[in-house]
Amino acid sequence: MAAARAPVMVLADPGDSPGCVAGLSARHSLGHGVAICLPQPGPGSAQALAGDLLIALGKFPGALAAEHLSRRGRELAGLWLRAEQVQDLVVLRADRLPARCWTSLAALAAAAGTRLWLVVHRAAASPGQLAALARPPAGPRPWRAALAILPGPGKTGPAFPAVPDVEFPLFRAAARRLLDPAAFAYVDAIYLDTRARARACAALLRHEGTEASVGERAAAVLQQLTIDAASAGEVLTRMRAAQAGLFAEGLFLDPSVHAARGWRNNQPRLDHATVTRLRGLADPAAAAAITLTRATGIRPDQLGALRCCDVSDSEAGLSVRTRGVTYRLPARAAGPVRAVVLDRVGTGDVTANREPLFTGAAGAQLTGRQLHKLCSQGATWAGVTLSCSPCWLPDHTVTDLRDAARAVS
Amino acid sequence: MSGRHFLDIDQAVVLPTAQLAMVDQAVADLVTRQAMGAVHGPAGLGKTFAVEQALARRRGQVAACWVSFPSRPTMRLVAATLLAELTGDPPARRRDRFALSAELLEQLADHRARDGRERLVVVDEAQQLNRECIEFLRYLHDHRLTRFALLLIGGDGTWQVLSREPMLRSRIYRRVVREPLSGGQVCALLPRYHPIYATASADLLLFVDDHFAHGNLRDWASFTATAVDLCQATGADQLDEQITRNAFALHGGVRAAAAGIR
Repeated sequence: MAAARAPVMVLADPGDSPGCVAGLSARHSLGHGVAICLPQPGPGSAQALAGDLLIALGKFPGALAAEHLSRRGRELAGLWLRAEQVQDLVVLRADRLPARCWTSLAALAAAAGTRLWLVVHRAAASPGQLAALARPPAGPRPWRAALAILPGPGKTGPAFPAVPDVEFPLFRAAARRLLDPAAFAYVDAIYLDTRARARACAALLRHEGTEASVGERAAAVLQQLTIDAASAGEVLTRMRAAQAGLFAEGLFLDPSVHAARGWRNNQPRLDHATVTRLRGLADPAAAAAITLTRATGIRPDQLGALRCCDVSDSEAGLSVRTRGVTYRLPARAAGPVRAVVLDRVGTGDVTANREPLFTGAAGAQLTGRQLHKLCSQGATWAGVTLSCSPCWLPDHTVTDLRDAARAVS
Repeated sequence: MSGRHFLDIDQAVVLPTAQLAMVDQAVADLVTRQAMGAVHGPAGLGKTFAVEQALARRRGQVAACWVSFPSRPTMRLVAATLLAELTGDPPARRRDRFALSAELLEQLADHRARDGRERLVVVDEAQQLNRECIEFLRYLHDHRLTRFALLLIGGDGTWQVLSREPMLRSRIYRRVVREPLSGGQVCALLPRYHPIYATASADLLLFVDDHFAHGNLRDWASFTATAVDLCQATGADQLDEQITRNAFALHGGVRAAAAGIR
């Protein structure tokens, strides 16, 4: 992690070349842990720098003022830096920033374990700026050196193919027949992975010793298996793979029953555009509440019951455990929930922290009504809807074929 | 926006100068590359007209936003003026520069999502800008959230402002220097400019140019408007020396040439 790296690097671009700004800006990718910050010209101030940092962290320009958080600018910049797990923060035109801003940036980066790259568009940083750093770097490096170290811009994969909308027993054969070989290979890799994971979830659906109903557990399993999908075709592929995997374990999952009509919508819960918009919110509570609502479909009163220890981090994203079931958030959407946990408990161990996840100014747990309002306002500001598949399915959606076989015999 | 002749002279045509073609090509290149460019030269050489012509030819591909500022504006004024032009709303008085900048970043986002056209911001009279305002425009242009081409049009002093800072100068992808027409260009082009010059001798054209217009298109337009009126009053259909001298008199006599550009 970044703690083992040099905490601050100074990059020199003596000619202030257009290629430097363009080349480094192209490396901006929060998904790969790289944030590129371009401070506004003019006399640098802590408030302005915080706003610029938050824009680099994906917040909407002007989010602080719009969400009435102007007084928390610097604090939120540090919080989101940690929540988005930014590995490298590149600050362009750092030579225009006063020394106190260098101190501030270095402190924020150190607290987040982030490597800080300060780009000076001249031969070297001023003595005052270097003195502002607790551990001044050895000397400026050419800006191109960063291109060899920072992760390259993420390649956008091919668009998910339009898959056949047929029932699960026919899905794979129909996809093989209708798609070209490359498209089928792409779809089938996701299908096989999801099917294997679904088979591992069968025991969970049969397990009786939990407070959650079969339908709630089935909904949670489907959420875990489909939440990574970023397109309607991918949702359908993962859904059919989940049905096929459970069927191989003797469970028939039929989300097409009338009472499960909320699940007939194949739209992804957290596609890339939605994640980008949710990331635009500066308020951790609003961003997290909407992300959780979109990801899981749980109601505001259920959101209010969540505690910090219900959230656990992993390589693949976040897990949220509530009412006996576990939901998953993909890594690309984990930032907002991680941010609200950090906002509540800081950097310490949260596994034993039973504090409510969503609290008001006085520290009291937010009610369902308050969370509903928070979500509605945030969703309007972010330009996303709150509707998605609910967090439950009717119990009769799942049929254990072993039980049925026993009954027949 | 379509290009309009100065004084709207009836039957006047656009002179197909090499510089007009250069401006047209520069606008096309800037829009393609989303780059910064400059068209500069002394007043009256048709800089704005040339850009208007280029944009009129690309109305379907380019959404142009024209702004100009008073002398030595502040960054806040630049932000407020540009935002007002982009949104069509009057400038907000009580908002600070940071709030205005934040909204500008959103307004200057990729315009193609709206109607498929690229955005070009044209700053007229760019010689009025000081270094910090050009720096602010460059900030907007460099920001990864924005996508637009930037064209600075200005008179004398524009290039001095830009070239003073290598960082600004190095970003100018296309530069067109508008210069007065040479004597040869006057003789070759003016007969096509208006019917009253169709049969005018080279000596007469050079006489007008040497004593009045000095290769300046705006001065040629002024002279032509007056000469056309005099021709109509006297029933002449061609310019002659008498009409020329009368036109000089109506303009207050002959004019000295402006200082050359650097």
